[in-house]
Amino acid sequence: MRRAFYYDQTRCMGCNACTVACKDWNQVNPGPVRWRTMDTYETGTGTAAAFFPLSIACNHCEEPACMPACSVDAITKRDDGVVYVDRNKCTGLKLCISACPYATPKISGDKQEPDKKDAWLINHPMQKCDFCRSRIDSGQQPVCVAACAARALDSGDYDALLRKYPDAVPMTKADFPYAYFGTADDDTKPMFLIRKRKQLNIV
Amino acid sequence: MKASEDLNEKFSTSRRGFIKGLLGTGSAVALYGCSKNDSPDVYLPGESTDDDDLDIKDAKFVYGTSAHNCGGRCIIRGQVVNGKIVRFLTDENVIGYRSTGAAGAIDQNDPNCTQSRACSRCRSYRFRLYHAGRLRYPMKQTKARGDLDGFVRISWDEALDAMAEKYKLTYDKYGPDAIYNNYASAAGGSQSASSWGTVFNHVGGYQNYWGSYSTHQWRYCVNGYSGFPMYVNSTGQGYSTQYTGNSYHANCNDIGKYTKNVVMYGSNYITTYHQYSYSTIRAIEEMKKRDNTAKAIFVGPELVDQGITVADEWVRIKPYTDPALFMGMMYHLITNTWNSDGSLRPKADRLLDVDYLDTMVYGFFDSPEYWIDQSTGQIYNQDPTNAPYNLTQEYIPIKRGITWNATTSAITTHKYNEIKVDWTAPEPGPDSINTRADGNTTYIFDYVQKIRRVDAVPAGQSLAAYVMGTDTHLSNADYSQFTDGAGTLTNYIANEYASNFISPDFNGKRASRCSYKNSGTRYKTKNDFLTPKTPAWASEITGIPVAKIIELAEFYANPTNHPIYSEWCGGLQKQADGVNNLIILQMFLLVCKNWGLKGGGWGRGVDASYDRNTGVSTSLGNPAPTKPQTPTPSCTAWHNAVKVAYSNELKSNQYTARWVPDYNDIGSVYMDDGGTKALLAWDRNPTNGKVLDTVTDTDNPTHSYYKWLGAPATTSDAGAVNSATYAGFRFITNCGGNILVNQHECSNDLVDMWENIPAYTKATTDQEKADALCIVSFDNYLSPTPRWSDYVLPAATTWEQPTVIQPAMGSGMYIPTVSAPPGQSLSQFEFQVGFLKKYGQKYDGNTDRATTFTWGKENMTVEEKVMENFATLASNSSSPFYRKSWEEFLQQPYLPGVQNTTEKTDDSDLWADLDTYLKGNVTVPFTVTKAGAPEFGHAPYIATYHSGPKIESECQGGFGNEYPAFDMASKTLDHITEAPAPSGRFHVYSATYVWQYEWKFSKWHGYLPIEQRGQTNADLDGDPHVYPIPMYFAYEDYFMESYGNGNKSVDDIFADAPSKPLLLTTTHNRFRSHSTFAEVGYLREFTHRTVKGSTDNNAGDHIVVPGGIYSGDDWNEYGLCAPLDGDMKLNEGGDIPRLNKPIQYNQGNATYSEFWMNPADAEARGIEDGNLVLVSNPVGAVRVVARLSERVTPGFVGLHQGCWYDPDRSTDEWVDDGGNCNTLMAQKHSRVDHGNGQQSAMVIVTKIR
Repeated sequence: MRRAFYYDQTRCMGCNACTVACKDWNQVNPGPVRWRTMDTYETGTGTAAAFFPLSIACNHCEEPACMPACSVDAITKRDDGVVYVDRNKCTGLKLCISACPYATPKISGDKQEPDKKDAWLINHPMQKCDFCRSRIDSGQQPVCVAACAARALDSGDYDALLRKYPDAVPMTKADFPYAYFGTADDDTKPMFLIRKRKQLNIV
Repeated sequence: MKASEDLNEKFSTSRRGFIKGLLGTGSAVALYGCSKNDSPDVYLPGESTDDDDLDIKDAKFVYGTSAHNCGGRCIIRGQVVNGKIVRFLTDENVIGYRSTGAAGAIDQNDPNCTQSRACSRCRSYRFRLYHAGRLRYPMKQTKARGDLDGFVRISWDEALDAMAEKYKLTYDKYGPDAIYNNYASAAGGSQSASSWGTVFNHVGGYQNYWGSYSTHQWRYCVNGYSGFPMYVNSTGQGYSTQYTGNSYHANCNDIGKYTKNVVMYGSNYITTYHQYSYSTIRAIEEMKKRDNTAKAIFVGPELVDQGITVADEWVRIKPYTDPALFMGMMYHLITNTWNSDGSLRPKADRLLDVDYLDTMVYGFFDSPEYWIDQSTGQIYNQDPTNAPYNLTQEYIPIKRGITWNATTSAITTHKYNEIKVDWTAPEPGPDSINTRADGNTTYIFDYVQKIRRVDAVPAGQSLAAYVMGTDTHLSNADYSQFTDGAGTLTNYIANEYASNFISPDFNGKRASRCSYKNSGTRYKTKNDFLTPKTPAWASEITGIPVAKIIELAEFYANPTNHPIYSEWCGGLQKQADGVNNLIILQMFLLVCKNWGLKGGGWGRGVDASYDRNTGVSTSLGNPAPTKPQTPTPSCTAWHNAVKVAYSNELKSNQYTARWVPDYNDIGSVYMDDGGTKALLAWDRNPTNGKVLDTVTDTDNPTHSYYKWLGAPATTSDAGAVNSATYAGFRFITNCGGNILVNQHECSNDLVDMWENIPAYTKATTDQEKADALCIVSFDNYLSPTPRWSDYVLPAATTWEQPTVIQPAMGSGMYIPTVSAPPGQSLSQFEFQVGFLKKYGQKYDGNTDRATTFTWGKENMTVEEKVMENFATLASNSSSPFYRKSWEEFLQQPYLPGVQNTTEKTDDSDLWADLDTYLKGNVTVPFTVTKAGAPEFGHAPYIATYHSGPKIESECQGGFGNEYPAFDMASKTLDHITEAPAPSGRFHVYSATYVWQYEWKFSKWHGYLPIEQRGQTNADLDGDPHVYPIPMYFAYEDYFMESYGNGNKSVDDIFADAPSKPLLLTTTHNRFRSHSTFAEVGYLREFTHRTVKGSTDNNAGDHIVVPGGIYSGDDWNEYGLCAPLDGDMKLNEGGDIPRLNKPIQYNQGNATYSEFWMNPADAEARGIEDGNLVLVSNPVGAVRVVARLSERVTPGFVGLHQGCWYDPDRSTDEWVDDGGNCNTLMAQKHSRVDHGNGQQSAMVIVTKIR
């Protein structure tokens, strides 16, 4: 099984229920770090402007660049494809951050993460989406998917999702350049399918 | 000498620069105790980050929903650990329950899906519940209103004692008229703010309000509608018809099945009405799936999320200019129907259906006075009851759109025929409402006169005459032209006009040169009267290219594109000329014949259709005595009521209204506002509480007026004008509302006013106490309105009090207390019971009031009442709760509804009849065959406005629509000879609309000289302010009046500004519900930014998303709360205590509200994304952070409503660092309705850093 997210760009209304539900479920305090982001990206000016809503978390890549980059083996990919970090192991070298094309790994500051846990080696170990492991292991959808009022998010096996959503396309830099926030440029085979939106005509 | 002049005189204070200081500059500011150490009774959600506490396997979730006023009521479920909610989930139900109790599967793919998933607002609720800024005990202001150093802790007993005393003393002197329960919407559910009405009725009554801040303008544009039956008697201010369809909510089944195209005028419905967002998205998906040529067009200045999500095209338009677009489109339609010499084009080349317009639309063209026989459709050029016709006047029944089943008492509403009706009071007799039984069904009828006189549409005053100006296409066009295109036939109406009506008053032309008067030069609107409203003219105003205006006109006019659903959402009306904006949209649909079809018409938004079980009753229904009658002013009129009541005190305190440039015009600008002049102490019948209708007018014996306290027998008696006592509002309760400072226009002036009015808390004698103002706020936070209140009382919120709320798409739901309210916070119910008990103890020993209020059982609680309701359900075999235990009920108190296929609209019989007529012999009069009451031998015209609004002086909702000539027995305008007569056709010209404006509230104005009664319909030149047709009212005129008091043009007002003014609107965004959630960290992230937010702000080494969010990290630092030692303290507030910025002003993590502007406008001002900017105009200024986006049209800027007003009082500019949009809004009311046109402002934007 290759666990993947699906996102319907034609349905998302930017309500951010997914990102807030993610922070709330995962007990991430208010502040800049978020495991899932949703924003509407823009290109062009005037009538040539284009708008791209995108809700994106970790892509749980088939070939995650973060994992080999980590020198302390804090990042693991499970058999079902879920990529997660053991925060107790992280030493804060940030090699994962530079390796990830999507800038998925995040590190908090003192305000957002005031309490260091005893098992942590550093004050703010790396954190990121773990596909709501506890939820999927008990047969539930990740909290973001269960939150989506537009039914624009889904998750499941990559191939099964492709069959369920025949219009979906794999996320690539060519089609979705605005999803590539990081500096790295590797093809990590992101497990992320998107139903692409037709562009708006502006007059 | 005259009362109103006296009141006017009170306001003629000269402007002075003196500002009463709010705070001494030396006021010491201590650190405010938001931290966990200082606030042992406040749990902070950030404290718990240990995943081990949150094992989901054993997790217990409690059902709940929102009580704030986002328009939604979605489902959230709180995970409770040790009495605290640690996180939320949403609705995951897959089975729903119908009204019958039968279960059904919820279909996730259905547009009507009832699984009600919450948005980010409710998902953030943990940080609202457990915020450090929550109020925890009652406080009293001991210094000037608004002074944060002046709040001291008091007991609930002291607070309730003060409320009881203030109520009693004020009531004894002024009656219920001076006691006001303010518009407040943040605490919904069974114990909402409005439940204070019940409480006050137990002790003598209070003053209520009319309307809403959400739809004030719209209520002047509907003629009764099905969504809110309670408004049937209170709307219908003329100018409207139900035939244009869904004036309120459309329905996703209609859109999915029938609609061919959707046009959204600035709609952000899916944001404001989240519960129907999925329905909207899916309905439009279904439309496009059915018809691949179907389009969704978004017309607006800001591409809100709804545009991003569902639109195929964005037509960028400057704000407030939509009417110009419609005028430009109409010009194109007219000039592509007639040639410039006045000849008609061949039928195939016309964009307008001339026979249709002649037959069914009144006022599009000039037309003569006529009399119509409503049973035959025949028209006459003189009264046919006289010779030579000698017809008999009789009364014919018109069947109403409502039927009542006598057996089941079920009321069926038939959409298109729905007209204002009072079905509860059928009375036999002619020209009145009557009923007739047909089997089990009782039809409700209006009896109307068979022969009706219809007013002329004077030459040059029709809608087309205004559109054409001096253009000759229609001034050359004769009604005598053959309309059939074959050169042989014309329709009945046109032929009659041309043959039998030519006179000195009617020249037979379709539209003469526009003849509306312009007595000056300062109004751009009037200077344009004679300008042909060409697409080029419209393009100049709207910014829309000419070709697109033409394309849109042809799109709307082409029947193959029909039905077109046009959505107005809300913002289109909440502008200076909002009533007009909605009227022209509706008129345009009529002109284009885009009405009467399923899936067409106009609507506020698309909703879902479902069947749902009642669940537990949402109406806890504490019994209350009958309310004494009071006038019911507009919900927006309170600030005028206060200013007039305290005019002497304001003057003596040197209040100069420096934030209201047009204040000098108090007589015309303020006194007419929304019923302000009616707010006297009134004389009532002691047995039924009705205001006496006994003051006669000797000058006009048919007129009688309501009797004010101390009034003589007639208006002409000596001393009549000086006998009135102005009550105004002297005791104001505000329960979960922020209107008094934040959510009404011109926050600077509002606090200036509050600070200069004597406070009850400082009064010593009973007389002073009765007179002085007392504002009591009951709230969760010290938001701006509580801050400027005299008493601030801490309120429990949802999850902290037992309450019943009706969720969006399911049953009434009981939400118990799952988390203890902070400190001494009380539930609304406990507060209310406490007040009634205190009042009894203090004044008359009466304990029955409180017992009556608690359903006749002493100290009965809400929980006990719900248990009682539940027991009934549990023993009812048709209830899904049958045989359930209370514990089982608490596990699943919520029953979702089940989607269904119900359609909201019907094809209109009238449309079908008319279509048949227009395809047949149009040389005979048009009569309706299917509608009406043919079973009684008549087939009358269906009048769009056929017998005027029902006028019921005793109906609260009808306040303002009582007239001195009103006859209790007749209840219609027909009997007021001065009133214009409706035509029985669709009106795009309405003399009634003007007449009602001029006469509104006049029955309450007997104390004034006759010329001051009603509303003055005059602009600063003495020309009309309200016209019988919709127009394009240039926004520059509103700003010329409100910023320059008419003395300066807009160009002069901004002549010294460093850059050109930009136009501002203040739409809702997703991340607040009005001003609720302004303090919630999870949501501030989306709306607030640090200055030049960058990757290296103090938050750490996270990567900031390009173009994304640069949120600060101040989530536990803003907001105010008082620690237990009794003094309000602030966190690093600098020299001046601040609300939203307790963080040091220059500190990197301080955040400001985002302000959207187009990159081109920013570049012209040297502004980059993330810069701190000053946004200012003559009435205020805010500091905000610029967000550059192509989602806003050049020339337009957006500041989303709901930030908390937080003025920097260290300088005279009072710059608002909170970023409240209303700081920039002029106080001048919107045209016609005197409501809150609070989406209109011109601003100068400059870079700070």
